[in-house]
Amino acid sequence: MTVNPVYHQTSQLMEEELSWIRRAQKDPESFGPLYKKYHEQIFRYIYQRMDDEELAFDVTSQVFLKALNNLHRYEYRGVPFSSWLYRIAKSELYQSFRDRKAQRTVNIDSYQLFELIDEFEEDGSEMNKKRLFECLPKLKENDMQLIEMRFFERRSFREIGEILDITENNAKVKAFRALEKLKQLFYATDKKNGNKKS
Amino acid sequence: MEIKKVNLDREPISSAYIQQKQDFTSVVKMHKRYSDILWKKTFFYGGIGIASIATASIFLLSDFESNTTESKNIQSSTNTTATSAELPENTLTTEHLLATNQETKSPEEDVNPYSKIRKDEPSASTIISLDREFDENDNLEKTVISEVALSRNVLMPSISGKYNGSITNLELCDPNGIRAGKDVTIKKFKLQFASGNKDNEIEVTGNKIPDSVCEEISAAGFSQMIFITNIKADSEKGIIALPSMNFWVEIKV
Repeated sequence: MTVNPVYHQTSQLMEEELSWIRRAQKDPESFGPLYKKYHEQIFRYIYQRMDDEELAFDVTSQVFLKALNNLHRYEYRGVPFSSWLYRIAKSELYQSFRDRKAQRTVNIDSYQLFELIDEFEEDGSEMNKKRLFECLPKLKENDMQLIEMRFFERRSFREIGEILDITENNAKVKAFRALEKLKQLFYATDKKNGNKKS
Repeated sequence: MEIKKVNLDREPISSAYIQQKQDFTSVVKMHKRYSDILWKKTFFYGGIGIASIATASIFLLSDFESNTTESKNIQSSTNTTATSAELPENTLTTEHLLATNQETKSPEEDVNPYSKIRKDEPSASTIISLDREFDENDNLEKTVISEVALSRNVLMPSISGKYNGSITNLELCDPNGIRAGKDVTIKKFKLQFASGNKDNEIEVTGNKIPDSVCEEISAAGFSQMIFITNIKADSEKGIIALPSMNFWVEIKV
C-alpha cells in the first residue's frame, strides 16, 4: 500500500507548516505556501468525486477561501493541516451536490477494479470486472467514501480517521464493513445472473 | 446521496495543468472582500452593542416598575412599617423586597414578587437535547433537537457511574443496568451496536443490557461506539424521557 508523502510528514515539516499557519493567521498573504502545497491534493480529492473539471476547480477555490476566512479559529492538534482542509473540502463538496451544481461521480481505473476483485479472491475476468462496476453505484455514500479513500486513493487508516474525524481503529472497522457490503452486493449480482461462486 | 455516475479510466489531469489553474491572488482578494463586510467591523458591533444595552435597559426598567407596583400591594397587605415609609414612592430595594417576603412567608403563601411564580411549583421541567444523527439519504450528520422532560433535579442516566466516554464491556453489562436516581425506574431504551459485519438496533424493555447483546459485543472482539437512545423512565412525575448516552466500548476479557 502506497503512503501519501504529503500527509505523512516529519515533525520538522509539521513545525514549518505550523509557522506558516501562524504567519497566515496574522497576514493572509502568507497563506501562499500552504495554498501551493495543498492545492493539487485538495483538487484531486474533489475531482475524484465529481465529473465537472471546471466546477472542481471552483470548489477547490471555495475550500481555500473558507480555510483562509476561518484560519483564526484553527487550532493545531498534532495532525497535519491537510486533515482540516479535507474536512472543509468534504463539506464544500457535499454542499455543491446539495445545490445540484455537481453530480456525485465515482472515478475508477481498471487496475483499481482488478485490485478490488483481488480483495474478493476472485479472478480478474471481464465478467467480474463488469459485475463490480455495476455494484459500485449501489453502495451507500458513507461506504463509498471509505472504499474510495482506502482502495482508490490508498490513504492510511490514520489519515482516513483524521479526515472523517473518527479514530484510526474505527476507520479500520468501517472500511472493513464497507468492503464487506460491496462484497455482498458483488455476490448478490452473481446470484441474480444465475452464477455460483467457484 | 445517490451515486449518479461511475467513470472508468477517465483521462487523467497532469500536475502541471493543475498548477497552471492555481489562483492564490483571487482567493486573497475574495478573503479581503469577506473581511470588509460591515457586520465584521468593530464599529458595527459598537453600534449594535449600544442599541442592545439600551433595549435591555428599557425592558428591565419597565419590568422593574411593574414589580414595584405588585410589591407595594404585598407590602400593604402585610402591614410592613419601617423601611418603606422612609423611601420615596415607586422605589424598591432588594433588601426591602426580601424583608417583605420574609415577613409574609408561610408554607401556603411562598410568593416571589420578582418571578411571580409560586416557589412550590415545579421548575426546569425540560431541557433541550441535541443528538447527532446520520442521515444516509443526504449523507449528512444532522442535529436532532428534542425536548427532554426532566424533574427539578436534572436526571442523568448512567451505567456503572458513567454517562458517556469509554467503558469496558464488563462495565456496560453491569447487573445494575442503567440508573438515573433513587425514585426513577428505567422502563425501556433503544440500543445500537455492531456485531460481526452488521449494525443492530434493538429496543430493550427494562434497564439492563441483555446478556445476549453483551455476548455479541464481546464476541465481535473490536472496540465500537454504542448508542443508547430513547431512554424512558418512570418517575414520580410519570413517564419521562432521559438524555441519550454514547459509549466507546473497549473489550476486556
